[in-house]
Amino acid sequence: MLKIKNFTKKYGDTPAVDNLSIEIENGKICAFIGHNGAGKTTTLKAIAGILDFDEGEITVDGMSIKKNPMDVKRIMAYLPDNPDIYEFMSATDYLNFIADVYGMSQEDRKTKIEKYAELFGITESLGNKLSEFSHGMKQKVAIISAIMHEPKLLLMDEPFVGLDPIASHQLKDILHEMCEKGSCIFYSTHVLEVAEKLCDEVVIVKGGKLVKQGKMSDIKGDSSLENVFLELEDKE
Amino acid sequence: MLFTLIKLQVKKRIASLFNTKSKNSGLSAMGILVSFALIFGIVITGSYNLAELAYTNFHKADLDWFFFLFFSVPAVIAPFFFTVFTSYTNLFDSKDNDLLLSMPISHRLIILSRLISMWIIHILIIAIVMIPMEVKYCEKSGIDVLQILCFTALMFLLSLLSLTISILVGWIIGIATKNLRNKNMIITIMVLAFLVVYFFLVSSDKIKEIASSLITGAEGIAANIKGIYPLYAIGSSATKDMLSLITVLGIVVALFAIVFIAISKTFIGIATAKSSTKSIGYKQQNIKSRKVSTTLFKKEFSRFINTPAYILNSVTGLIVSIVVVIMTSFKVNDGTVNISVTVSSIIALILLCIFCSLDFVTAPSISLEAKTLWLLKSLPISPMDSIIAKLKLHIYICAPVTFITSIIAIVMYNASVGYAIFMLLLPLEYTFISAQIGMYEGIKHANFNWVTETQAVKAGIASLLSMLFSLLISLVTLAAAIFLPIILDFSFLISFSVLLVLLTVINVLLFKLIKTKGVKLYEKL
Repeated sequence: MLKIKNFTKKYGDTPAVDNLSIEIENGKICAFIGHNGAGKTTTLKAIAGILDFDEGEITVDGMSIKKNPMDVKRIMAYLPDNPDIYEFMSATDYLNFIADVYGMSQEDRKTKIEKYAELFGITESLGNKLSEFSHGMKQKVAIISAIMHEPKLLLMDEPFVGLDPIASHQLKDILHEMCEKGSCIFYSTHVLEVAEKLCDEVVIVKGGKLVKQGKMSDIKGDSSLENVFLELEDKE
Repeated sequence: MLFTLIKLQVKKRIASLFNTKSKNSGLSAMGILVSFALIFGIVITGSYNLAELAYTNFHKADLDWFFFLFFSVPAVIAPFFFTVFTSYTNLFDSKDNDLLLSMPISHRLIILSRLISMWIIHILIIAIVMIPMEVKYCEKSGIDVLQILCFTALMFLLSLLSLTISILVGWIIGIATKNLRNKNMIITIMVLAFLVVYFFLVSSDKIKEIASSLITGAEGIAANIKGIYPLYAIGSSATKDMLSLITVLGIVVALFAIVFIAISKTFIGIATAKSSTKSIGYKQQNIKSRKVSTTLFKKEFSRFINTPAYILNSVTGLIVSIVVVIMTSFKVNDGTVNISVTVSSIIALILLCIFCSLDFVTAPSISLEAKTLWLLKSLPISPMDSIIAKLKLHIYICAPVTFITSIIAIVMYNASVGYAIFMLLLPLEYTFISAQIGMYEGIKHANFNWVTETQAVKAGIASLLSMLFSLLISLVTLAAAIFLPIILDFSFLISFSVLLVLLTVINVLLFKLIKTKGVKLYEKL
């Protein structure tokens, strides 16, 4: 579903990501782990079509992000860490804006917005301006905007930061639901305990290079993901 | 600690004007300084010339104190109007409130540092109005060190008085509008209304009539005012009357102290209070799904009307255009200026076209995306869709107003059919040109390192270059269209027809530039 082949991104002469190759199948949740500055956000932004890249190829469902960016973006959603959204809009207006861009029907968007707003407990606040929302509430609105059009590929950069425990739990359920329907989820995180329980696969990067990729059960074995990660970090 | 806090406030103010992080920061800063220098130059010249007239009349009647009072009143009012709408925010709603209040810093020092930074602005504005007047006074009466010292003291006291009034009124406005849902829109409308009134007064003869009657009828007016001791004291402070100076000092410091104590007592409560805007809640409504182009335009328009700095700075040309066209038509119609209908129509046409160049709605629109740019880049929205939405914003706001102003001008200048057509079409062409130039410059010089929206709109090089290039094109093309018929002896209507075709070609080429190079630059953002 998501294929990254020999992806390299340089800032000046310094490669932020160096020759990264990853493959993630439909119906899988994959954790993207690495130290700060390892190239996780750069990779996610490149897949999302926000950043141009120097070498390699990124395809989603066989479509290249470079050659068919619009087609890829239509089946994908990206959620950055600390998402800045249009604070001059109300939550409803913002979600309708996203729904318009993805061409959602009136009925579909109404059902989805009400369903997810109810789930996250923000129904009563939907009419208010986003500038009046707390950080966590904005995060919830951003999550709803990313999932409501049922993307085939969902990219998220540290999605659980700022979410209360109930919302985190509900998000995990939503992600499972999406995978059962065939979507692929690729997200970066520092919360390894959650990743262990939630994810089918894991990709570990260090210094912009791939260190390990595979099934969660194979990677962590009898140990914990945290121990595996720390051991890899200690190695030169 | 106080000095550290003051330094912090001054740095914040400078940063809000000059964006030092962008790669064109030097050029942008120079542009802003040149703009300020031009404005200051106009005010200084006006003040100096008015002082010449005032001194002649007042000194003759032994009313030197009235000379100083005459300039003190506008000097106090000027900075008040510049700061009243932002004084509440600057004092209570600063983004570093939480940080500073969590540290071992007395809230009184925080307040004082902010007041002092605002006071500096008041001093600067008052100085621009009053120093030319003092220079004229010294020229005529000779240099007297004690008088200059008294004048300087008066200037500082008047700036403190202006600050005190500004804080008080701003506080009232702030408290009244704090919990209003559309606070930004209300304040924007208030400021726009003030600007319209201000421009009307300045361009009408009312201000000049009032000033003239004050100057010619000085003796009578001064006799009445002398009974109001505080006003008399303000004027005579600068004439070495130490008792008056001490009185003014006492009054101003007492007023400031009262306001400062009141602010100190309420500061923490106001600064840390959460806005208690009533929740709108969720009501089920039928929502129409829109096309991508429509929804993008709606987003642009929503940002525009919710960002006061954007409205107030980017459409000044529209406001000035309406006022100037109407006021100059009065002068033509009442015979103040004796010119033919043809010439007046041409003048109106030139004014309409030039003022279109002063609007720059598109120029800051990319910079304003800043932290939300990821949305436009990650959503299935083509660069051209985004760009067209922004162009539409400029055109849909500026074109109708320009069109209506043209119709007003046609009626008020009694323009013939031939000239009327060009008075309608040519300003629209220039509107399109300034929209497209602004768009291209906005993409090329996008600045995402701003802290306040004012910085994004005003301090960016895009807005400056957009206005400059638009103005250049309008001046060059209009000059050619006016002078060539005079030199080569052919009809203005033929010249304007050629101009219309030329401007259409320029617009087509600009659109092509945006579609090709503009899109490539956008994709690299």
